[in-house]
Amino acid sequence: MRIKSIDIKNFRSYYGENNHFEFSDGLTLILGDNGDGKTTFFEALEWLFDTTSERANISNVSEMRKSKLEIGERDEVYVAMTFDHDGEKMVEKSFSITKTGHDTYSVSNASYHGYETNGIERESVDGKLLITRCYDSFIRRFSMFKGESDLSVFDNAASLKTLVDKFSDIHKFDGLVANTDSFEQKANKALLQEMKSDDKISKETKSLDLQMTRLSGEILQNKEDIKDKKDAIATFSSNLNKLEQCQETSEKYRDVQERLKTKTAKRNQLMAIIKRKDYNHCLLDEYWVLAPFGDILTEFKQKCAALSKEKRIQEKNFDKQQAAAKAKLETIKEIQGALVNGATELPWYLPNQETMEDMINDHICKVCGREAPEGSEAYNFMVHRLEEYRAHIEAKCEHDAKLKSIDEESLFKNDYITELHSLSISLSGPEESKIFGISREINDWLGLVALRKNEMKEVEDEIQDLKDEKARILIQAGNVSESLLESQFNDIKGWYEQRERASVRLSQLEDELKNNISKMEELKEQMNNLNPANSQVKILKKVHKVLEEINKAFSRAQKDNLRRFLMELEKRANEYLDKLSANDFHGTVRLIQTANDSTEIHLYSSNGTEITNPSGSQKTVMYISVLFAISDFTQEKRDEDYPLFFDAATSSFGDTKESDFYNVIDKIDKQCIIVTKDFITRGKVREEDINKLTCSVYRIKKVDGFDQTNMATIRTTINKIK
Amino acid sequence: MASITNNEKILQAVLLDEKLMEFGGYTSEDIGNIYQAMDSDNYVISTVAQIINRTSEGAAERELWKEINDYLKRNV
Amino acid sequence: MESLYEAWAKRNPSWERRYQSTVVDIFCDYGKGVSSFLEARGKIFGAGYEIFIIAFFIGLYHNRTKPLVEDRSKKKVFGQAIQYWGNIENRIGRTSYGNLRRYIFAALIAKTDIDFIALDKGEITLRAAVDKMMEKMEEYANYGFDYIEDKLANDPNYYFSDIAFLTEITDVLKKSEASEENNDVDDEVPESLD
Repeated sequence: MRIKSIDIKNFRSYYGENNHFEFSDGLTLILGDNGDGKTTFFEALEWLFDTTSERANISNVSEMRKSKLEIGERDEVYVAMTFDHDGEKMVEKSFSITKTGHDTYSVSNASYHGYETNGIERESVDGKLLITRCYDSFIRRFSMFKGESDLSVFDNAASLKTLVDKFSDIHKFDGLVANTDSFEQKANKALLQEMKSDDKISKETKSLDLQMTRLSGEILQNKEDIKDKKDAIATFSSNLNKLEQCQETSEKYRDVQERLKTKTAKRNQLMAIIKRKDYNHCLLDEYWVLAPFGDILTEFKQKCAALSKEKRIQEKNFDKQQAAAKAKLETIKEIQGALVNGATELPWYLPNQETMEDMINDHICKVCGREAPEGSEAYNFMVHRLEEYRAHIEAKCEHDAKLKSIDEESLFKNDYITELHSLSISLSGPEESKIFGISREINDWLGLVALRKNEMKEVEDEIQDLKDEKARILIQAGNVSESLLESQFNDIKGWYEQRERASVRLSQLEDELKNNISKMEELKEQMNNLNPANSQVKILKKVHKVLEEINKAFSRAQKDNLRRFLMELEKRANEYLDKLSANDFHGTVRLIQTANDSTEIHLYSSNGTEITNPSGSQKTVMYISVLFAISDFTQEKRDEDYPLFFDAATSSFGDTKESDFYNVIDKIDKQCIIVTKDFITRGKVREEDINKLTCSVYRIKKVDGFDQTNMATIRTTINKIK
Repeated sequence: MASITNNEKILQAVLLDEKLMEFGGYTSEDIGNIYQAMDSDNYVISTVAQIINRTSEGAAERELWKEINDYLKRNV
Repeated sequence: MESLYEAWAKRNPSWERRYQSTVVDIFCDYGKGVSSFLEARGKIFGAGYEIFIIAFFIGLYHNRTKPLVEDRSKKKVFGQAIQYWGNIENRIGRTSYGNLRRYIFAALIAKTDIDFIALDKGEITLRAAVDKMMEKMEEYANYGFDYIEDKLANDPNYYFSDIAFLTEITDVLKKSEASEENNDVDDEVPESLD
C-alpha cells in the first residue's frame, strides 16, 4: 500500500480546504515546530483509519471555521486519502456542521466511504470495510508511531509475541504440537487403564498413579509459584536498576516538575487577573460608559446655570414691574384723593361717616350746633360732604384691592429650574471629577491587562520549554515511567527488602520443585519396572513411548522454527542498523526470547557488552531498524508493503546526523512519512540543511498574528518547500 | 526465509531431530518425501508423516488419534 | 408635588420591534425570567434595557438621532420603568448602577429643546416637557440600535469580542481628543436626523 495524497478540511487547526499533502514513494518529511499542527496531522489520520467509531465529534472541528460561520450556515469536516493497493483507491471520513445559535452547533451526515478501481470502473465501497481490508489495525500498530515513546511498543513483550506469531509459521506447529500432546496423554491413559486391570500389577499401579497425580499437582503449583516470584523479583530489580541508573535524571526530572508547577500557578494567576473584569458589565456597573460624558455634563451645568440666572432676572424684572405698578397706584390714589372733592383729606377733627349721617338725619350740625334743616345750605353742605366721603372710601377700597392683587401676582408657578439646579450642584465637585477620571481608569486597566498578557505569553513560552525539557529527560531516561522518576528513596528501600524476601522464598520453592521432580522420576521408574502379566500392557507401553518421543520432537521443532525466525529478523534488522548508523555508532540488535515465550529487543555494542541504557537517538535507530525488518517480512508474507509514519515530537538527534539519517531512509525502498521538529531553529527553517536532503519536504506552520487565548485565531498553513 | 511453509519442510524438521533418530533407529536417507514416509516400514517415520499429512488435510483430532493408535498397536 | 425627575423616571421608553431579533435578543436575556439560567448563559447583558442604555449612549455621543416609526404596533416597551433600571439584585457578579439614571436625565435635559422658563411659568405642562425628553431618549437609542444592527450585518461576530462595546465608547474619546489637537473650533450646531 502506498499513500498518494492526503486532504484535510476544517479538522482542528487545519482550517478550510487547501490542506493538501502529496507523498512520494520514498521519504516525505513534514517539518513543524511546537503547536504548528504536527500532532494534529497525525490525529487526523488516526481518526480517518479508526474503524471502531463513526460518530461525528464536534471537538474535531476547526475553531476558526466555527467562529466564521453564520447562524444557519453549514460546512463540512473531512479527512481523505488516495492510495495504491491493488489499484487506485480512496477513502474519506466526513461530517457536516451547522451553526444553530451564537455558540451552539449541530453535527450530522457522518460518513465513512471510499472508492476502488475495478479494472476501469470506479466502485463505491464502505470505508470501514476498505480500511479493514487494506490497512487493518494490526498492521497499523507497526506502521504508525506517534512520538518516540510510542516506539516502545517493542518493549511490550505481548505485542512482539503477536508479531512473531503472525509472521513466523509457528502457529502451524501449534496445531501439530497440540495433537501430539493429546496423543501422548491418551496413550498414557490407555496404558494406565490396562495396567490397572492387570491382576499382577494393578494394586501397585493404582497406588503409584495416585501418588504421581498428587505429585504432579504439587509440581504444577511449584512452577506457578516460582513464576510469580520470578516476575516479582524481575519487577523490583528492573525498577531498582532503572532508578539507580537514572538517579540524576530523577533529580533533574523532579526539579523540572517543580518549576513547571510554579510556572503553571503563575500563569493561572495572570489569567485570573486578565479575565477579572468583564468589560461589557463594567460599562454599566462601573460607569465606564460615562467616560466621554464630561462635555455633556458641562453643557448640562451651563444650561442649568443659565436657566437659574434667566429665572432670577425675570423674577427681578417682574418684581420691579410690580413695584412700579404699586407705586403708580399710590400716585393715582393721591391724585384721585385730590380730585374727589377738590380739597385735601378730611381733617381729623371732622366727624366720621356715622356721625355725619346722624347729623343729617337730625338736621343739625353737631359740630357747631347750628340747626341744619333740609334744603338749607348747611344741610346740603353736610350731604355733599358725606357723599364725597363715601366716594373716597370706595376709591380707597378699590385702591387697596388693586395693591393686594399686584402683590399676590407671581411670575413663576413651578420650581423645576431649582430642581435642575440642585441636581447640577450635586453632580459637581467630587462626582464631576470622578466622571473626568473614568477614561484614565479604563486606560490604566487596559494597560495593566496588556502587561499581564505579555507576561503570560512569556510564562507560557517558559512552560513549553519546560515541557520540552521534561520530554527530553524522559526519552533519555529510556523506558522509565514518570511515576518511577518521581519516587522517593524511601520507596526504594522498601523494594530492596521485598526483593530480598522474594529471593529467599524463590530458593525454597526451587528446592521444593527439585525434590518433587526427582520423586516423580523415581515413581516413573517404579512404574516402568512393573512387570505385567498381560502382553497387551507391553504393547501399550511401547505405543506410549513412541508417541512421547514424537511429541517431544515436534515441540523441539517448533522452538527451533521460532529461533530461526528471530535470527532472520535480527539479521535484517542489523543490516538496516548498519545503514542507518553510518559513521559513529556500531552495534548490534539482538532479539532474545524470554521465559514466558515472548521476545525482547536488546542493543549490544561492538565489543559484545549490552548497552543497557541506550540514548534516545540510539533507541530510535534501533527500533526503526527492527521496523524496517518487520516491514520486509510483511512484504514477503502478504506480498504487500505498508508506509511507515513517525511523529517524532522531539528531535533527539544531534544536528550533524539529521540529513545523513534522512537521506539513508530516502534510499530505502519503503514509503516513509516523518513529522519532525528537525531543521527548524528559532522558528525558521534551516535552508542549507534542507538543500542537502534528497527527499520531498513540507513545512507546516501556525499563521502569524494568532492570539493564544483564542482558539478561533489559530490555523495551520502548509507549504511544500522541496 | 528460514521458517517452514509446507508439510515437507515440517516433516524434515521433525524427523531430522537427533534424539528422535536415535530412538527410532533410522537415518536421513530413510525419510524420503511425505508420501514415501507415510509408507515407510519404520513406524516412527510413518507415524510422524501421518500426523503431519492428516492434520493438514483437516482431520479431526479424535479421528486421527484412532488411526494412529490402531496403526501403532499393530506395528510396534 | 412631583419633581421633573420623578415624572420622567416613572416612564418607559419605546423602541422598534424590528430590533428585537437583530439586536436585543442577541445581547440580552430579554423576556426571560431569572429562573432560566441555562438559556441566560452566554448572553452579554442581562435585562433588555441594558442594551437600550448602550444604544442610547452611542446615539448621544455621536450626537445623532433617528425618529421612530409612527405605527404603534411596530413598537415595544421594556418590562421595567426607568426608575428601576440598574437595580441589579439577582445577578451574580453584577453591581447596582442606579446612579446612572441621573446622568441620563442630565444628558436629556442638556439636549432636549424645552422652554424651562415657560414650564416654570406654567405655560407648558409637565407632561409635555417629559414627552419631549422621552422622544429625545428614544431617538438617540433608535440611532444606536440601527448602528449596532448595521455593524452586525457586516460582521455577525463583531460585538462578541470582549472589548467591542467598550471600544465604541473609547473611540468617542479619541475622536474628541483628535479634534482638540487639531484645534478644530467647530461652532456648527450638530445635526439630528429628524
